[in-house]
Amino acid sequence: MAIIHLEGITKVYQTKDVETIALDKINLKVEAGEFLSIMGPSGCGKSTMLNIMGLLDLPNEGTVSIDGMETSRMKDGPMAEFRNKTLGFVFQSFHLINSLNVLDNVELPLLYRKSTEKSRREQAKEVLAKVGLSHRMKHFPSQLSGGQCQRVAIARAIVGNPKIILADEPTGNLDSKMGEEIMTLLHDFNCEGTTIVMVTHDEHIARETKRIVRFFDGRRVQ
Amino acid sequence: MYKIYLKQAIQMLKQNKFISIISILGTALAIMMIMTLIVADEVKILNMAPEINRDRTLYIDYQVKRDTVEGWWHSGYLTHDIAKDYLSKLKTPAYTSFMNVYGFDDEEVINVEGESDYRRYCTRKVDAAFWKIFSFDFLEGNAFSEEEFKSGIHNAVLSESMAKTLFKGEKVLGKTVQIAFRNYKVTGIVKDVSPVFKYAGGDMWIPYTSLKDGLHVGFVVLMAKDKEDFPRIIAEVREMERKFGIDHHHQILYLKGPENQKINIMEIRANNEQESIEAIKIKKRRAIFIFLILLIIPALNLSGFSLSRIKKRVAEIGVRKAFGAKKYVILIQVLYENMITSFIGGIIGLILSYVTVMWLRSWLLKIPEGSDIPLSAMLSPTVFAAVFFVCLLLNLLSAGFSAFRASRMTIVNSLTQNDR
Ligand SMILES: Nc1ncnc2c1ncn2[C@@H]1O[C@H](COP(=O)(O)OP(=O)(O)O)[C@@H](O)[C@H]1O
Ligand SMILES: [Mg+2]
Repeated sequence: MAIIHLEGITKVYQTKDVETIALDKINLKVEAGEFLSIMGPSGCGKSTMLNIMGLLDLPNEGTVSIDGMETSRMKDGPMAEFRNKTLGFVFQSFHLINSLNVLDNVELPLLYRKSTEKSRREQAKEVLAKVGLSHRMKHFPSQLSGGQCQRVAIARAIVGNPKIILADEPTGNLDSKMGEEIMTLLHDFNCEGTTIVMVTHDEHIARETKRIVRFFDGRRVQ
Repeated sequence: MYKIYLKQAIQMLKQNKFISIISILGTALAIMMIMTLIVADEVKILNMAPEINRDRTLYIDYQVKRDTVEGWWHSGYLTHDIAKDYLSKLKTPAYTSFMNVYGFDDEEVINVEGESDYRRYCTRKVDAAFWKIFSFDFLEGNAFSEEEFKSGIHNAVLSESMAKTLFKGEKVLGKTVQIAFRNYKVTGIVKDVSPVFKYAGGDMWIPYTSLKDGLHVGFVVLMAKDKEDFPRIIAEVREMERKFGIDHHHQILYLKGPENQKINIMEIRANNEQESIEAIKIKKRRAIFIFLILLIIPALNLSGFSLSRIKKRVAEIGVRKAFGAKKYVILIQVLYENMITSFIGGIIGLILSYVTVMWLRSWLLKIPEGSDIPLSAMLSPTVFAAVFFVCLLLNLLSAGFSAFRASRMTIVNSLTQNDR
């Protein structure tokens, strides 16, 4: 059974006088353990798609099933818990919290579930070791390079052992060498069984993944 | 969880030094301002030498006499005959003193015999009980006894600086001073008393029995053995009003008060009991109103700060929600952080108000130099707790609004806020 199942997803943005159809009746299935790239030109609806998949946004029409759960009728509280348990996010602009140090940033998802301070510390340190940033634990995001920030963000996405990682242009703000480092990390986590859906418009990067889905103007073209 | 919030809050304060300092200072100054005003008010009712019995003293400074048949009425200072014939007969007070405002003006022409330099100084015309109710610091000599008072003796007590001005360093005791063109013998020198003391303050003190005949009016100061006796004294005064009515056919007497120190400093005007109650109510209402304004204005200002701080963190809130924070968790965090700012501001405000009161006490609060005020009485912890609680509450409410708005934004909108 598919771990992500989108059916008939339509998203319309209604501004004062323009109506933008960002997604037009999209169907998509992602199997557990897949590493999927979503490609397409800017403005074709990739981010909108990923946000709906990550339960960060609601579609106007269609159903979103994640890990066997139909999510349209979930309330705010259970939805938050479900996201916390099942999903991890990586953003193009990292979205680290500047007033928290690296370790506290990584701990963030664990704050919102039942756990002790000690076990939170331990888990966060463990994933920081995996992304190779143990020596930067006490640094603040402003003291790190872009590649290091994105590694912290990946550590944060993975720390809670989610089944799925959703990454929106994770290499978009990085040079190709740093981008490669990030891709290596994502591949490692994918090998450990995490399902990854990644948005990119870099053909070279997309080709490293198992499957590519292409979008054009709110429609799936491949 | 709260430990991390605390860490983050402190880190944020460090990272946004300018806005943090301003909002903490805003809270601190608000608390300081309110505290100082409360203290300024409190000081007027604290026992302070020479008015060391304020907490067990009652005052009557106004009377109304009406004739129901002839239709005339008279109001103004208490007349001496009422004080003598009625109020001096009160049984409960420890001391009853009449202070004369002879000529409606405490300033009298003073000069030293043989000199042509005439000046006006504040001269209080008092009785023997006056010296029992108030505690003067005699440097030399003494005042006058009850017998001397009754005999109309021409004795004068001078303040230290008055004595220096008049006699320029000579030995003063026993010298003659001319007050309102009559000769008085200086029998006592006291340490200076600030004019802030409404009843005890002045440059010199003489027995009012030494004055020429004329209109003797003034006020009565009643010192109780204990403030528990206040109701009994008031009842006795009412009884005296009735007695006056019996003694003087178809005349009605109203004595304003007796007022305790707190009411007395309000300086209310009233021609009967009802008006008096009403006037006190209005004064109290006005005080509460001013107090609320003083709280609300800084709270509104601070809410502007909390709003601008929250606006910078919309993306962070989006991230937290994406990773599983529920709306109410966000709300609690923002309020908690705001509380930390309030706490720091409150503590600084408390310290500032102590400093202000201690350093500026003579300039700001008109507390005479050298007078001893117990710090605990000035800045009572209950008053501080109350002010702080209200300030905190308003602060939380103002932050609450922005926190509520931020927590309700959709995640996508929060996340993209910063990029746009
Ligand atoms: N909040 C919004 N309001 C209005 N239009 C939006 C909003 N977000 C996205 N859009 C529009 O929807 C379309 C798809 O956007 P997006 O999913 O961000 O594209 P991509 O990520 O593929 O570049 C674009 O035309 C964009 O302008
Ligand atoms: Mg995009």
